[in-house]
Amino acid sequence: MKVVFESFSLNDEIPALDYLKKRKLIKFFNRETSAGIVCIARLLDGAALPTNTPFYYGKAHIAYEDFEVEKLVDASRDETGSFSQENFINRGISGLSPLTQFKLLYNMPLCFISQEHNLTGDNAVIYKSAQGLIIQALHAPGNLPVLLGAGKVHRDGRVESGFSLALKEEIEKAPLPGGVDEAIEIFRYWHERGQ
Amino acid sequence: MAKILITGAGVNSPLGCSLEEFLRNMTAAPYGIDHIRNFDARFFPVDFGAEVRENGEIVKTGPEVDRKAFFIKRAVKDLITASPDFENYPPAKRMIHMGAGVDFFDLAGYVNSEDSRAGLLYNYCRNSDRVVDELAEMYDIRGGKSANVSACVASTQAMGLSFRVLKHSPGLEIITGGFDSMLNPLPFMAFYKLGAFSNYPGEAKHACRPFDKNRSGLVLGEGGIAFLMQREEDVKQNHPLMEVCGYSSTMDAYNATDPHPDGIFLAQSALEAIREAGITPDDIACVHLHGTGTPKNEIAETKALALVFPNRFKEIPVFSLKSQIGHLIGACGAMEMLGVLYSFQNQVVPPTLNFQDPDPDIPLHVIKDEPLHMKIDYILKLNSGLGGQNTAFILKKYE
Repeated sequence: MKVVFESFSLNDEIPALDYLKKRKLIKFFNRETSAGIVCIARLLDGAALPTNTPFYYGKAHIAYEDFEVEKLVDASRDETGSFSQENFINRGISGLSPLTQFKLLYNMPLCFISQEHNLTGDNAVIYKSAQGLIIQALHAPGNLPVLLGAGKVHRDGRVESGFSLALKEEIEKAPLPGGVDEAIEIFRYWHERGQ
Repeated sequence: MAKILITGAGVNSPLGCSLEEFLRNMTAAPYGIDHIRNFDARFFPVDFGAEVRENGEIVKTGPEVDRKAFFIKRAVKDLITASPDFENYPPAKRMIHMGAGVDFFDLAGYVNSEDSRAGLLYNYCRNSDRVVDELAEMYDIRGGKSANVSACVASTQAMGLSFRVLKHSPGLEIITGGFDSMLNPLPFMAFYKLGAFSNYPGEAKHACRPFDKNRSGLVLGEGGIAFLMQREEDVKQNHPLMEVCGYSSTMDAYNATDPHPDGIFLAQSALEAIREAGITPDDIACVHLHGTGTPKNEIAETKALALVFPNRFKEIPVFSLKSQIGHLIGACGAMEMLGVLYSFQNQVVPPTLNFQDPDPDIPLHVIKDEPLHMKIDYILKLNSGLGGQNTAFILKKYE
C-alpha cells in the first residue's frame, strides 16, 4: 500500500503544470485539484494505472478559496447596502467567470484527475466523511487496487492532498486514527505512520 | 444470492409529496415545470423551474431555508413512519447513504448582515453532508453514513453503494436516495452561467423537451427522495416495490462539460449492470434514460444504446421523466426511480412529455402522446453527470 500526502501553504505555488499532460485543463483547476494532480503524480511516479481502476475521492468542506464571492456580494448591494436581486443579476453574477463553476463543483477534482490519468472505472465523490470513503472503497467492484484520494483547503489557505493505491484487503487492515472525521485525516495518518 | 429490494419511499417532489401523490400525478397532473414562484425571479434571464408541490400547491419557504434539507427531512420522516420494518434493526445495522447537491448559501441573508462586513460567510452556509449527519442522529442510524456529491449521479451512486453493501452484508437496512434544490438565486444563476438551461420561448410546461428536435436545454427541479433498501429475507411488514439486480458506474474521462460523444462508457456501465443482474440485453423491456433535453446528452445516450442493443436500439422503448419534474441534479436519478416503479406497476412505458418532433440524430423509440402497454420485467435506468460520471441500474419487477 503506497500513500502520498502533500501540503501547500497559501503562498506556495502548486506545481501542477509540472505534472500535467493535458495542460489546457489547468484553467479549470482550483487549488485542491492542482494539489491532487501533484499528489497523484508523485504516488504513481510515472506508472500508468489500468483504466478501469476504481477511484474514490473525499471532498472536504470549502473552507477557503477565492470564488469571487466578495466581489459578487459587493455588486449585489443596492444604494443602502442591502441585497438587490436586480443588482445580483445585472452586476453581480454577470461579472463572474464561467470557469468559476468548474472550481466550485464538488466532483471536479475527481473528474479532472480521471481525465488526466484516463481513469474510466467505478468512481464516487464522498463529501468529507472518512467513514463514507472507506465504505465506498471496501465495496469496489473487482480485485484491482483501489485509488483513494482526498483533499482539503483549510481556512488559512493551506491545501492538503492525500492519495493511496491499495487492495481492498489492505484498506480493510490499515489502521485508522481514532475519532477520524474527515477523509483527508486518513491520509495524513497513514503518511505519518509510514504506511 | 441475496435479493436486494426497495421496500419503501418517502417523496417530496414536483409531482407531489407522497409516493401515492407522485404516482397519481404521473398522469393526473403530469407537468411539474412552471415559472419559479418561491423566490422573486423577475430579473432572471430564465425563470423555469420544477418546484416541489403538495396537493397542487408550491411548497413555499423563506430565503433562509435550505430547501433540499427541508425536503429530505420530510421525506425520510414519511419513509420511516410508513416503514414498520425500520425499527426491527438495531442502530448498528442501520445505514444511510444519500446523494446530495452543493452546500446551501443564504446570499441575501449574508449581504444584509453585519457578518458580510467582516467576511464571515460560513455562518450563512449549510453543508450538505451535515444534513445526512442530522438524519443519522435523528433516527439513531449508527451503521455507517455518507453523502455522495457526484453531481447528477450523486443519488444513483449512493443507491449503488447501498446495493453493494447489502449484497455483501446480511442483516442491514439502508436509507438511500437523494436531495437537491438549486432553485434559489445563487446556484440557479451559477448553473445558468454554464449555458445549459432551456430558453424555450413558449409555455413553461413545454420548456424541457427530451429527445425532441427543438430541445434547447434543461430545466432545474428540486426535491428529496428517500428509499428503504433491504435484503429480501429481512423484509417483514414493509411491502417490496421493486428489486435492484445490477449496478455499475463508469467515467467518460473525456471533457468537463460534454458527455463522451460515442457513449462508450455509458454503454459499458449498462453492460456491466446487465451482467451483474445475470440477464442479457434481450431481457430488458425498456430504458429510462437521463434525457435532460440538452442538445448533446441524448445524442450520447443514443450512441450508448446502439452499443448495448446493437440489433434493436431503434425499437426498444425509452422514456425520460425530466420533462415532468425537471433536472434534480444531486437527486435526479433516485427520483427518476419512481418513473421506473410507475412502469412496473402499470406495465407501461409512459410518453415523454413535450416530445413532438423527432430528431434524426436520435433514432430512438421515444413513446409519444399515449403510454405504451407492454410486459415489463426488467428496466435499464441510465444517468450521467457533468464531468463525465455515468451510472446504470437494472431494476426488476418484484413478484
